[in-house]
Amino acid sequence: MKTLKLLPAIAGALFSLLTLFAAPAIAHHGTAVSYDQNGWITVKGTVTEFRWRNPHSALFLDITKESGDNVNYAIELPSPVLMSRSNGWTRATFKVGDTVEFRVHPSRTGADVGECLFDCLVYVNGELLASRLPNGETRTEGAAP
Amino acid sequence: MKKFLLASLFALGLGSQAFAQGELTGVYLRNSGSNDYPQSQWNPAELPFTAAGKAVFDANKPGKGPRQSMPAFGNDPLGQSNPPGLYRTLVYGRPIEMVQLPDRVVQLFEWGKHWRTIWTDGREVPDALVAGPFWYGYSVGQWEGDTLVVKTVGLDGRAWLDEWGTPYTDLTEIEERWSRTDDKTVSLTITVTDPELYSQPWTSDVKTFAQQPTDSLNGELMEQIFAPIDEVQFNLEIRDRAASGPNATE
Repeated sequence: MKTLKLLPAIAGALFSLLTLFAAPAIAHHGTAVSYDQNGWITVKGTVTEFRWRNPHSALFLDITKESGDNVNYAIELPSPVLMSRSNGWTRATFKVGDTVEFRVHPSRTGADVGECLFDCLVYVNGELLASRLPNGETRTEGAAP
Repeated sequence: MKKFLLASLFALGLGSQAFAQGELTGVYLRNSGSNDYPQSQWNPAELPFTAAGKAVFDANKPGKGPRQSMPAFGNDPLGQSNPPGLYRTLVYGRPIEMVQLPDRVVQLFEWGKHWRTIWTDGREVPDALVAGPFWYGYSVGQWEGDTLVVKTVGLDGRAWLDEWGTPYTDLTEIEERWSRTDDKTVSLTITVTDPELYSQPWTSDVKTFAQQPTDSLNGELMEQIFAPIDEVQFNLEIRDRAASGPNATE
């Protein structure tokens, strides 16, 4: 029974290890260390800008935090080359005004910035986008938003 | 003398295999890891630093590897969109296209959209004190059987040898040994010589590169240029912002 209770923690630790080892091969300037790679949060908001740029792309969302504060939240993303190859994303994947739900690693300092390089569980206007997994495969199914 | 010997080998037909077309031509992706190495992505052991070399190594503040810290507080040359340089590019996991010609091997790098030439026409290696400095060095190669042995000098020591801040200088000399290990793989080892930074030459582990079919995801090089106009904006709005939230300690 104890083993069963520990399974989620073990799975989480294994996933964190995978992410930790995979991150150096994917992050461009080592920005991954600025984010809590063991933690996930989900942000939901309206797209204000999608910056499709090398070597760092970014998505900006207007969100309402749990505190009730309205902020413009920034999400650091991989380069266009990587996102187009593995996810099939393009510069038209996100449009201003889209409603987006995005799973990210939060800033370690509590800033309104997150990062996702793998398995981002992204929904655009309610539809799941393909997202690369650490093992190189692509997630095409996920929990409903 | 060297040119005379090469010409003689060709005249005897002995050089034809060494200079055969297409041995290295193709697109490759590094597929050997180094994440648990103690200091450098190039070496599974600790490096033989001199006191001066250790001081330079300690002064380099990378955003990756065992000494990683937040890039906002580091000094990675890439943080201002400088070129990665030759060896950092070789150890990074992005596609490399090799084109083997009768008198040279050209390597095209997706990462940063740079290239380097390895001259195999029998020319001499230039004087390291005169050549360069070049971010991608000056390289001359010779075939030893099926292995392309490359000597690179004239490097620009402001770049890093890898993502983890391993240093070199303008006078570092590096020997590369490229071999095709099978029809889908090439391998590389480097030997780094720099008496200022290292008490003795050291040789990397074997890095392997898997050939990428043209119709595969990584089979075609795409543009990944580092443009300062984008980097400045990224640093201001993402990198530095991520490091300066209410829980910041630096």
